[in-house]
Amino acid sequence: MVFTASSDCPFMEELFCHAALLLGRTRREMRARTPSDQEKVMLVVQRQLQEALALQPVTLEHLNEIFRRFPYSVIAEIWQSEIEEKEEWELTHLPPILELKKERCDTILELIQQQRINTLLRGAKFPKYTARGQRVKKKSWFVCLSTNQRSLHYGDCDDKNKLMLDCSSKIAVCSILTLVTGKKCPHVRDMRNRKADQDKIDLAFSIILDGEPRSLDFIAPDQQAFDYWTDGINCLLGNPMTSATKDSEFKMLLDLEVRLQLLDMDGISIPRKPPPVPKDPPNYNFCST
Amino acid sequence: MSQWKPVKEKDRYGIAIHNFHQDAAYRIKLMVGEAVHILEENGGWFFGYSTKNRAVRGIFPKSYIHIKECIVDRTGPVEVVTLKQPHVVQELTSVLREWGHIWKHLYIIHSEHFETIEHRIYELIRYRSKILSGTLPVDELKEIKQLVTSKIDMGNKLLDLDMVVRDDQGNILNPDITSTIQLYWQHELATERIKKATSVPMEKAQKTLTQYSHIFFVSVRNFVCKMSEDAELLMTLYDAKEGRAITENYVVRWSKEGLARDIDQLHNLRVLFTDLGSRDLSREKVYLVCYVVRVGAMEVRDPDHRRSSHVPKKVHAEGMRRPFGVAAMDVTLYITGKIEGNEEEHHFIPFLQCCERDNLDGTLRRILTLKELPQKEHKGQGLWTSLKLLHGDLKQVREENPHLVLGNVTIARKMGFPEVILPGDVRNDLYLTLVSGEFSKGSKSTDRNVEVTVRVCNEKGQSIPVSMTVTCVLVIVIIYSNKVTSKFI
Repeated sequence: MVFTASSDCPFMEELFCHAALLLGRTRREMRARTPSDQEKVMLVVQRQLQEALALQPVTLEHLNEIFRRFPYSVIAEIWQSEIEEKEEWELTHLPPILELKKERCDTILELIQQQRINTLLRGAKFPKYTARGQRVKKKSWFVCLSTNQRSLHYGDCDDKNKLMLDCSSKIAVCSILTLVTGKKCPHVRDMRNRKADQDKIDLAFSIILDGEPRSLDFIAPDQQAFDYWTDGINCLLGNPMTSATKDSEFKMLLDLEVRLQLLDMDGISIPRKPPPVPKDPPNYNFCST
Repeated sequence: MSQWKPVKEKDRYGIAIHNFHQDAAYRIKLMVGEAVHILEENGGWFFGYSTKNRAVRGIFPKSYIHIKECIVDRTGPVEVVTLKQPHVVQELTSVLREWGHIWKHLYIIHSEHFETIEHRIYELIRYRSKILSGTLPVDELKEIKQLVTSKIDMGNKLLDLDMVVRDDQGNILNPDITSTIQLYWQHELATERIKKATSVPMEKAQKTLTQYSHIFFVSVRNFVCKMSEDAELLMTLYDAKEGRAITENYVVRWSKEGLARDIDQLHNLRVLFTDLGSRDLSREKVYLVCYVVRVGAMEVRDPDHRRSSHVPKKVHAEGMRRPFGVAAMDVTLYITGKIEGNEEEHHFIPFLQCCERDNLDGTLRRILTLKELPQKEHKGQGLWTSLKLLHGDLKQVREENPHLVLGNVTIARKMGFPEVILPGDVRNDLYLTLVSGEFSKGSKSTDRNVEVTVRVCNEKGQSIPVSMTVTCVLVIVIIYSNKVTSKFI
C-alpha cells in the first residue's frame, strides 16, 4: 500500500488524513461530548487502526472499506469477547483461583446434596410398571421421603390427579441394601429384547431392600428426574453422587461462586506464583487493640 | 522501622491477590479476592482484619495485598470504609453478592426463578465490568446506568426484596436529605415503572408512531447535463396524486461548466425537507422533482465544440429564465419507510429535457406517466443524489445525526402547517403562485413573450422593500407557462 500512494502526497500524510476522517466518524458514533470522552475515542480509533492494518489492505480504498467494517460497536464487541476469554482462562488456569475452587468444593457439594434430598422430600410421581416391565396404563405411583428422612412413603395414585396421595406403604431407609440402575434392575430383564424399550432401560433404577418387598422399581420419566433421584438415594446411603447433571450443576455453581468472590478484582492482575513472604516482623506490639 | 505505625487514610482498603496461609503466630488466612481493612503497617507487613471476619485481627504481608483507593466516612457512630467507586458500581457489587446468597437458596428449593436470576447475575457482572473498564463515553455510561438500575429493581421485585428508592437518573435517594413526601412519590413512580417493565415485554418502541415530525434529507451529489449556460435546479417533494408540490423549492445554482456555482458548496448541497407529518408519510405517491431552469439566452444554443475559443456574443437579455427540463424520482418507498435510505448511496435520477413548446408541468406529467425513462430520452443526463428519511423535529435530528446535519444545511419547509404546532412557531408566509396568463396577441402574428415581475405594494401604491425570497421567478412565455412561488415574511 505504501507504493500505491501518489507521488505528490507522501504516504504518511494520506494515511493520517484517512485516520482523521475515521476519528471524526467514530466520535459521532460514540456521541462523545466532553473532553474526557476524547481519550476514549482515541482508544477506539487506535484499536480500529490496529485491526485494519493487520488485514494488510493493498490500496487506500481498501483501507477505507475496512474502516467501514469496524465501527465502534464492533470494536466494543471485540473488547468484550477478549475480556470474557481472558476471564475464562484465568478461572481455569491460575493457581490461586484453583486453590480457591478447591476450598469451595465441599460447600458446593453440600449444597447439591441438600437439593437432592429436597427433591426426595417433595416426592414425585412415577409411571407404574408391572414386575415384568409392562407399562400399566393410566396408573402411577407416588414416592416421597418422610420429613425425618427415615423412611420412603409410596402409594398408588391416578395418572391425572395430583393430589390424591395414598402413601400407605412405606419402607425404612435403613433397610435399603443398595441401588441398582439400568440393566441390573429386576423389572427390566424382560425388556432387553424389545427394541422400543431400550431407552427406558437407561432410565430404570431399583432399590434393593432387606426384607419384603424385595425391591422398589422405578422407571423415571426423563433423564433429569433419573439423575436427581439416583443422586438423592445415593446421598441417603452415604455414597457419592454419580450423575452427569450433578457434574454440570457443580461446575455452574462453583463458577458463579468464584466470580462473585472475585468481583473486586476487576482490573487487578493476579500473579501466577505466590509473592514472596517477608521475614517476620521485629515485634508484635500493635498499637490499637 | 520497627514500630507499628497507622497507615494513611487512603491506604486502608486492600484486596488480596493471592491465597495467604502461613502457620505462624498472629497471621490471618486470606483467600484471593478477599477484601481487607488495614490498620497499621510495619516493614513488609500489614496489620488489619478481613471484611469476612472482622473480629479476628492479624498480620499479612504487603506483597499479597493490592491497595484500592477508599473513602472513610466518619459521620455515623462507627467509621465506615468504602471503596472509591462510582455509586452504581458499589450498588452493583452489594446487590450481586446478596443475590448470590439468595440464588443458592433458590437452587435448593427448586424455585422457578433460579435460571432467570442466574442470567440476571451474569448480565449484571458483564455490565459492571464494562462500567469499570472506563472505555465508555458519558452518554453511553448514563444509558447503561439506567439500564442497570432498572434490572436491579426488577430482580429485587422478583426475589421479594426491599425496594430501593431512586430518582429519575437512577441515583439512590438519601432518606436523611430527601423529604418524606418526595420519597413517597418516588416510591409510587418506581413501582409503576417496574410493573410496566415486567408486564410488557421489553421492546424497542416503534419510533415512527410516537414521532410527529419527520425530515427528509436530500444531498445533491452531481448533476450531469449537456448545456451551455448556467442553470438553476429547483428541488421539491411533489405529490403525484394531488398534483402539487408539498414543500418549498430548494434552489441550487449550477454553472455551465458542470459544477455548482459556489465551489465550496459543492460537497455541501444538502437540504432538509422539514415538517413532514404522518399524513405526508402515508401519501400514495411522492416524487422528488427537480426542475431545471436555464438562466441565459432565449433560445437553446448548442455549444460549438469546434470553436471553443470563440466567445459567444453577449446577449443583452442576460439572465432570462427559461425552462429546460425536469428530473423526477419516485421516493414513496423512502418516505413511507419501506426502504431505508442510506446517505452513502447515490441514486441516479434521469433527466428529461423539455421539448419545444412544452412547459415544466407538461414535462413532469410525461415523466410521471412513463414508468421508466429509456436511455435515449435522457441520454445519460441526470441528477445524482442521496436520500434518507429522518425522524423527529429539527433539533432532535441535529443531535442524532450530526454528520448529516453539520454546518449550513438548507431547510425547506412544508407549504402548510406541520402536524404539531409549537407555541412560538411563527410563520407569516404568503405563497404566491402564478399559474398561467393570457395575453392578447396584439399586432404580432405569433404569440408574444412576456416577462412578469412581482412587487409588494402598500395601500398607497408605493412598493415596500419587503424581503422577498424569490424561489422561482420565471420568464413567462405564453406557451411556456410556469409557476412562480414567492415567499414573503
